[in-house]
Parts: sequence; structure tokens; C-alpha cells
Amino acid sequence: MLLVVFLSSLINGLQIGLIEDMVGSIPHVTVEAATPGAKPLWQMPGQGGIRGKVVTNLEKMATQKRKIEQWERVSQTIQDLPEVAGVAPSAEGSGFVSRGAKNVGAIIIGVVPSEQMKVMSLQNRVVEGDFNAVDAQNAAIGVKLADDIGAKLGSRIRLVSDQGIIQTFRVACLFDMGVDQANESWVYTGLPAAQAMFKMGKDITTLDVRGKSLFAAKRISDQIESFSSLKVTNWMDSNQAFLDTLRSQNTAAAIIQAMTLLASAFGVASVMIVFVVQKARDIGILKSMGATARQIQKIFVLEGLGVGIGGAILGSGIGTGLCFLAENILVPGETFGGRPATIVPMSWDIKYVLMASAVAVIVGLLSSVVPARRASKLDPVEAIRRG
Amino acid sequence: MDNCNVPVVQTIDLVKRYGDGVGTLALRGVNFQMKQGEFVAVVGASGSGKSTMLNMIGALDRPTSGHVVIDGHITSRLNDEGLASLRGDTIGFIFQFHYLLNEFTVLENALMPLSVRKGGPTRDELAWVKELLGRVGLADRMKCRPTQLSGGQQQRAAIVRALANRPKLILADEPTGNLDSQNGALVFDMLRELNSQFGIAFMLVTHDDRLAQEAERIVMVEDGHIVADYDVAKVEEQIV
Ligand SMILES: Nc1ncnc2c1ncn2[C@@H]1O[C@H](COP(=O)(O)OP(=O)(O)OP(=O)(O)O)[C@@H](O)[C@H]1O
Ligand SMILES: [Mg+2]
Repeated sequence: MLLVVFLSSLINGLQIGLIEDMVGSIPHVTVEAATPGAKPLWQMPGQGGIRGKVVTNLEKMATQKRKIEQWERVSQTIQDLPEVAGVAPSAEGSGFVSRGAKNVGAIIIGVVPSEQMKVMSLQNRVVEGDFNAVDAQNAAIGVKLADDIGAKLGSRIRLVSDQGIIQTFRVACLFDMGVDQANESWVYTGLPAAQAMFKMGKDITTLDVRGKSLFAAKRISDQIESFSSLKVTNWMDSNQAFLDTLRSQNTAAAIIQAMTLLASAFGVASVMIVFVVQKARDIGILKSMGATARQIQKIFVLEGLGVGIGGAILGSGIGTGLCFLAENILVPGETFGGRPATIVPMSWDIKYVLMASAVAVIVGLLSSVVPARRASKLDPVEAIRRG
Repeated sequence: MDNCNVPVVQTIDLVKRYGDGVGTLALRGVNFQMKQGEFVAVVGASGSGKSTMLNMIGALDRPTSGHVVIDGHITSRLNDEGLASLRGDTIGFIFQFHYLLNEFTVLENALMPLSVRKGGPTRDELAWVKELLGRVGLADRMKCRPTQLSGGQQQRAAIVRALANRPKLILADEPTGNLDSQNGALVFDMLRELNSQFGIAFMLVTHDDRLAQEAERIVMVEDGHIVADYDVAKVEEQIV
């Protein structure tokens, strides 16, 4: 019981944390114009697809990304899909960040901050400053990149696009996406600024989509593919192995929980059997006074119910206590799922407690049936003699 | 059924065999009858079958063959539920040990036969049980736990419990066996008084010949048979 609450919270906590870490920094679904020669975003090795790839293989990306035709119309169509929560346009390209003598390769991403925040959980990712400030003069850069070029909040940096256009920005926001490649190469600017640097006019390269649920990503991406020839990628396909791991973790958790329940059922049953043995004489006496087998059975089933309810209350209490305790032990300097890391990430939910409690009560009832039947079948003469 | 001519107990060729195969033949054909309001002492050596006989008559156990008729009910014709209600309505048990339930007070214990019945004790029954407790000298011990009583008091509480449902028949298996002679005599006198006052039939197993002589009738059991059955008064007449 206790274990069920604790384990459910722990496993759910771990998974939410992991998925947050994994997906929080990337949109659920990304729509791009198919780029000849360039592999799609998520099928590239490592995290971040093109955004990551470019850093290491900058020279290969000399060909500029293709624009999405009539993107406003496409965006609206996607926005109208039932499971879509938000769509944000961005114009991306490669370039350099320089500050003083330091030059670092970068992915320059032009976004509308308010829109972008709807498709990525950036709130938790911002370490310093304000992402909303990102515009034609203000940029957001990763913490690692800031370190590499020695920039701080308010520092001036220069961005050089692969079209050779140079622009000066002020660092208005530092973020930590939880992924090195993003932290060391991504630079967010305002959408018009990036469009100008990449000579795109009003065009964009990418539409980032957020589903109403994490796991709607696959369906959304299928729907988009059904009406457009754009390159659509979703986090689920790109992280198949990760999802498989989660799934097997869930199975393992279910097995552990089933075992725990089984163990507690045997626990209740054995307590009840001991109780029957202890009370054998009293049962015999009650029978000699005219108590029926059914009455005796009822007494013990009620007893089992009591044990179940007691166990449920105690177990939920201790389990919940442990969850909150574990949640409050922080690991200094670490983050997980975008929040300060706890020793074990927990996601406690009243749902687990109610579920586990219901199960405990049912288990208590069921596992008292056998001892109760035993009690009711006791031979009164034997019971009295032995007592 | 309240006809005085109906015997409260009648056994016909009562046989009880314990265990499979040959086993132990504890009763070898007992034919016995007992009138309403009679006070019968059952005597006999250890292992002769006295307790077995009482258990059969009390419908606590089923005979291997033969029949038991209690107050007109043929027990072999009753199912378990029927036996339970027969025990609850017609019979009271007193054992060598009090077997009071420690979780309950003396009063609650004494009311137990009424509590296990549908509906629980009525106001009249509660008054009756309280009166009985007073009679056996436990008026000020009603709220005590059984463990707080002396051995004699515990046995007296157990007697009240046996009487709570106003049974026609009380089966007492060595009720004084666990008491010293003074307390034993006290308890015995009490049973005798309840017998004469309320007309309840008593069947009482005892190893104490002196107490047995106080009964109306003595039944002697030997090796699963009744070997003697006589009225105490008549025998005494002959001796005197
Ligand atoms: N449950 C049982 N299983 C097997 N044998 C039994 C059982 N109960 C009694 N017996 C046997 O039946 C015979 C009669 O036993 P019972 O208890 O009726 O004797 P008793 O006259 O009451 O003796 P005591 O005076 O010692 O109480 C004995 O030989 C005993 O061993
Ligand atoms: Mg005996």
C-alpha cells in the first residue's frame, strides 16, 4: 500500500522529469520545408537535429534552409487541428556569435517570443533575464554559449549570419535547455531580425507545434503529413528508444506493484488466519450459543475490511509523507525536468492514493474470505476442547 | 411443544465413533430420556463418554448413528442453521472453564447469547440478565472484564450467560471441576436453585460423588454405555 503510493509517485515523477528534460526544450512537432541534402531534424544523430548538426558540421550547411511556402495559411491549418495547442513560426539559419576576439558557431533562431513560449516550456528553462524581451536588439543565448564567449546578462554580442550580415544584440536572457548542444549554440532573436539576417523577407523556415498532450505528437504529425508535403517530425518518432524504455519501466512498475499487492494480500490473510486460530475457542463458544456460520463469517470479513481500511489509511499516510520528504531533499546545483533536482523526483497524485486505498480495502476483504470461511467451519467441540 | 409430557431430551441408540475406520467408539448405543425440569447428574470414569454424550445432546456434534430429540426436534433432520437456532433458543452450555470473552464486560458476556440472535436483547431480557447477575452476587461486577473476577465469579458469570436465553435445558460439563470444594458447592447449590425455581432441566457431568448425590437422578456411564440410572430419592429411601 505504502509502496504502491510511493512507487507510483516515484515512477511517474521520474518519467515526467525525464520527458520534461527530453521534450521540454523541443517542440512536440516540427514542420520544415524539405531541404535537399539535409537530413530531417530529428533523424540526425544526437539531440537537436539540424540545430545540433550545424554546430559540428557547419560547412555542410552552406545551402540555406528552404522557406515554407504560404506559411501563414499552413500555420492556421495546423492551429485548427483539434489536438494542437499552439503553433509558432521561426526563421532559422547558421552563423557565428562573436564577442571580443571570441568566435563561436551558432544557430540563429528568429522567433516571436510570446508565440514561442506557447510551444516550448521555456518558463522553466530561463536561468536569468526575460525571454519575452527577445527582439531586434535583444537576444537569448544558452548558458554554455554565454560561458564560452564570456557573456553575461546585458553583455553586447555580435551575430554573423551565413549570408554575411552582421548585427549587434544585447543578451537579455540566459537559458538552460538541459541539452548541451542547445546550450552551446542556440541564439534566439526577434523574427524580423533573423529574417533580415538570412535575407528571407517575410518567409520562415520552421513551424514549431505544441500538442495539447505530449503523446498527441504522433497523431498531429500524421495529420499534418496528410495534407502537406512538408517535412514533419515529432518527438515520439525521434525518441522511439526512449519511449520504449519508459514503456518497459512502466511494465516493471506494474509488476512490482502487483507483487506488492499480492504480498499485502498474503499479509492480511495470514494475520486473519492467526486471528482465527487465536479466537478458535471464542468462535466455538459463540457457536454453542447459537451463532450461525454466516454470522461468524461476517465477523471475520468485517475484521478483514477493518484491516484493509486501517492499512489503506496508514499506508497512504506514510507513503504520502515519504513522497513529500523525498521531494524536499534537493541536490544542490542540479536541475531535472527544468526544476531544482530532488534526490528522487516525485510526482504525487491523489489518484494513486485513492487507487491504492481502494485496492487495499478490496484486497483486505478478499483475503479475509478464506480465513472467515475457515472460522465459520470450525467444529465447536474441537474449538472448545483445544482452547 | 410446551406439553409437559414431551421429554426435553431423548436419545435413541446413540452411537459416536471418533476417527476413520475402527477409530474410538465413544458411545455404543445410548438410550436415554429426560423430563422437563429434571436435574440429572452424569457420573463415570474419565474417558467413559460423558462429554461426548453431552455434546451430542447439545447439538454441538452430530452422532455417527442414532438420534437425538431435543424438545421435540429431531436433530438429525435439522441443517446447520437449524441446529444453531436450536442451540440458541433451547439449550444453554456451561463448561469446566468459563470461556468468557475477554474483550467484553461481564454484562456483555452474559448477554452474548441474546446478542448473537437476530435483533439482540430486548428490554425484558436485559432486566432478566441483570437480575440473574444480582442473584449470583455479581451485581457490582457487571462492568468488569472477566479477567478481573475470581474463578468462582467467572463461573457464575458463565452460568448467567447459559441462562440468558431462558433455555429449557442446561448442559453442564464439570461446571465445578475447576473450583475448590467450597466454591464448587456454592455453584452447585446455585444451579439446583435455578433448576427448582425456573423449571429448567439440568444435565450435569461431575466427578464429585457428594455433589452428584444432591441431584434428583444419577446416570452412570461406562465405556460408552449407560450402566446405571436411578432416582436419588428412591435409593436413599431404600438405604434408610
Ligand atoms: N475429538 C475426539 N477425537 C477422538 N477421540 C475422542 C474425541 N473426543 C473424545 N474422544 C474419545 O472418546 C472417548 C470418550 O471421551 P469423552 O471426552 O466423552 O470422555 P469423558 O467421559 O468426558 O472423560 P472425562 O471425564 O475425562 O472428561 C475417549 O476414549 C476419548 O479418547
Ligand atoms: Mg469430559
